Amino acid sequence: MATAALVFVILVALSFDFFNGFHDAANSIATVVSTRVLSPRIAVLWAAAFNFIAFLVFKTKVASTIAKGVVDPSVFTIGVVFAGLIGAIAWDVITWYFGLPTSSSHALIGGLAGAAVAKAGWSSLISDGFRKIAVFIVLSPIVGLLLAFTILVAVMWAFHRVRRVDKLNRGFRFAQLFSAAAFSLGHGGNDAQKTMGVILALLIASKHLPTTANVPLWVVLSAHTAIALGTASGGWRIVHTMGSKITKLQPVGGMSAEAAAAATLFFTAAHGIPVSTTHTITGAIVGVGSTQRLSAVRWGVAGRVVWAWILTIPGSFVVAWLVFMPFHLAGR
Amino acid sequence: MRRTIGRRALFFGLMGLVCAVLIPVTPPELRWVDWFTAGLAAFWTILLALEDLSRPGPEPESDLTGGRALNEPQTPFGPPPRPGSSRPRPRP
Repeated sequence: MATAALVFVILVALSFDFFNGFHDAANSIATVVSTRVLSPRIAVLWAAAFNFIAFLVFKTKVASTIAKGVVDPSVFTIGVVFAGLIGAIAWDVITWYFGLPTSSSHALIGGLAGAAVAKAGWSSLISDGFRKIAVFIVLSPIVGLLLAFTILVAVMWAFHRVRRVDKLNRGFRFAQLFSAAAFSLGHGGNDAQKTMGVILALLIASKHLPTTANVPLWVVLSAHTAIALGTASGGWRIVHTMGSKITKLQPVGGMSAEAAAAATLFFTAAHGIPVSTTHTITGAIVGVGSTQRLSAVRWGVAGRVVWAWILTIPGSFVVAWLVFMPFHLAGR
Repeated sequence: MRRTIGRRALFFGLMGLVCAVLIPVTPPELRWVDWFTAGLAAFWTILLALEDLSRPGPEPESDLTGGRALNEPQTPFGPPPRPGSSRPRPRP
């Protein structure tokens, strides 16, 4: 019975990963589609391929942070993880319906925290882990914004005397293929690891692995497969918000935004910080828009995105708490 | 002639301030990220403010692209006429 429950929750975790890819496909391909470098169909396949091969590039530090650095690992049970996943999935579905590019990662963290608090109280949360994540909720879009602005200004300075604009644009469109690939690599490396962290927590909670264990290879491969399949399925509602509603992009802008976001994601994955790919690329797109004028950024849309950021952890926390609490009370 | 600092310089200044505020709450091993971003924001704030102050005119907020997108072809012709109008608009 316990094994069946474990397998079921692992499948739910992989479904979350699939939906994460589906939800965040927009982040990977919005700029490359809105600048018409690739058709939507080819773009999702391009992003999915790099989502998958990310396991060859990154270590599993983010997975360890999720499994051991946010909630006390001794609090995890199959029920806690299940409630946390339901909270995160419910929040993702709500924000997807309204076309808001929120963070699946923070939904997951909020969900796990809500279920853990319902089981064992506030002391089950690890304050240092939460502090690191909270700081980078604010910092990752700012880093993306500043890097994108800097890269784009540098590119403009380097090429502002070039008069063969068409040839230059072809070069930028070609370069955008690589920047999109780098961003998809960072997305796969960062987001697939959150699901790996959840499955690792489950395997430790069910005594299939010791507390000091690393992520098994089958977990790594299944998480990357799930996110790649999700990305290949796409999420067109959010592509529209990311690619055109925040600011209008040219190929050079798309390239700069993706390069800046990819650099941020590579850094955070290397340091085991679970940041939101959505936050990072949104900040980078705003950075590109602000090289033109601040009025080139549609602040109404950006403001809605910020509100969704602020509400994500509390929203998924409450849903997970509500899912877990009745079972917890019934089990007393 | 009006010389003021534009909104963009203030925006970058605000971001630098946010990064500086985050320094005490950031884990010590990652504080250099705050310092780096605060420094980069301060750099752009100063450059954009200097650009605004050195440029006379009613609109202090400058445009690094010179008012056009990078891939917009340079043309000696004015913009096309508005739909429905028989005469082309005068060039600005």
